[in-house]
Amino acid sequence: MNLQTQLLQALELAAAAKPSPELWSGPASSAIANRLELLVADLTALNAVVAQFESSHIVNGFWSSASLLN
Amino acid sequence: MNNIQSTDSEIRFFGANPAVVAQLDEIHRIAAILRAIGALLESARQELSAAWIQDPSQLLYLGSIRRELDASSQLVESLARDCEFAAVGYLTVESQILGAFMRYADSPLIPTQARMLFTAGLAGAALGGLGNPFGSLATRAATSTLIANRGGGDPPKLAERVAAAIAGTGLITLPEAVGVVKLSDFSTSCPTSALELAERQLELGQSSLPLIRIDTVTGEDGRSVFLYLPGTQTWGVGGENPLDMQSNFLAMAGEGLAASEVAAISALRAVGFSREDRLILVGHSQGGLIAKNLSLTFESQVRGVVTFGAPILASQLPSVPALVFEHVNDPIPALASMENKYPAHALTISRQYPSSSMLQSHLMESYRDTSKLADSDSSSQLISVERQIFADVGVLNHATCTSHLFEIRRETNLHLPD
Repeated sequence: MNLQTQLLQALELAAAAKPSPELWSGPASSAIANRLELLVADLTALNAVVAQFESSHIVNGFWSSASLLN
Repeated sequence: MNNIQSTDSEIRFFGANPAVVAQLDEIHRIAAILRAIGALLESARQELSAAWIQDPSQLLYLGSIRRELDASSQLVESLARDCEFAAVGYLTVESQILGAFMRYADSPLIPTQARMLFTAGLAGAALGGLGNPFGSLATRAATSTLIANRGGGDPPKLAERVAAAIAGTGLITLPEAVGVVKLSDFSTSCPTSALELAERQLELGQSSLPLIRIDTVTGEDGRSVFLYLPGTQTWGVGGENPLDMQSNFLAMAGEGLAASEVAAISALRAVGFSREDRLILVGHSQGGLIAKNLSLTFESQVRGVVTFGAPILASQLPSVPALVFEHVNDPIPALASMENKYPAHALTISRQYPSSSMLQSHLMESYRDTSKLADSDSSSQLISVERQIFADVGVLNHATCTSHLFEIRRETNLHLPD
């Protein structure tokens, strides 16, 4: 599994980790939910950077053997 | 004696609020996802390191991705840790039971046979954790072995595990045999508030005998049964009085084990308790713990639970209207967990009791005072939950009920080792 796939999966999981309000709500749950949103934002940004990095390397034709593209 | 001197702000109400709920399974689900994210990020980190080795010219670029990745990993770790704290703080009772057993078993005041019993219980309790993602590998392996030994199926309940461990010692035979003798029947007014329940509970606990009280109210739509369960009367183990430490220990382990719980069921049978009857459980200290266990045994019939200074979590109760009174400076409710504020159906009434004595803060007399203080707060959620309990069982339409008083005795004593 390459880096981008791993990060996309992590992003999907982070989005699914949000507490269900029927099952967990209150101050602690809200704090977790807020920080999960931060995690989703961080992983989204990281995915974008990695995607740009990988595509630029494909376009430029170098570093094609790097494990990022395996 | 009346220690009620302070303002309304002395009492805090928790729970009975649909906006604040906590389910252990949901916290575990989130924790499991976070662990999976952590594993993916670790794997991504290794990919980056490999890429770095293959193409050192990209060092700066890969380094900046690595820093972002590390920051995300730390956030995931911190979130997983907070979920663990939340799970333990809110709801993980087994860890609290384990802690209570260990503190108790360490006391030099405890007789040898009691130590053996507690050690066996400790072993049983430690077999937990299969469904708990935070459980150690050792406890999970032990529980897996227990499941394998009994041919699979659902994970054993804590009560099963503790019963199995205790039975293995030969110290006592479960379930324990008890005798129940009716002392009197009398007519009295119907209880219609938590304060009235507290007053009856206080009266019951003031007897030197181990007693259980049952009030019955029969209406056109069926019968309501109020069961009052007293607190611990003796610090002994396995004697004639079932309101002892052995019952505390077994009741904490699970339903249907403690002699005082078996006695309560016998008393219910003695008043002809049937599947059609509605049940309201009231208990102080050990009685509250037994009330919690009985609420699970008779879940479909329970219409209300009221406990005073009991080592339980409101979240352990089934989804019925419940009032959980606990003094912040009473050490007994602290045996269960930190705070009881989470289920939507249960209201916790918490107060710093105005006494420097922990014993005084645990007495039923003190809880009666707190009930009185709470009762005087006309704006509180207490009224709403009380209405749910008393209106639902129909007692508001009746002037009188019949009270039954029972004396309870343990028939099988602890078998002391030679």
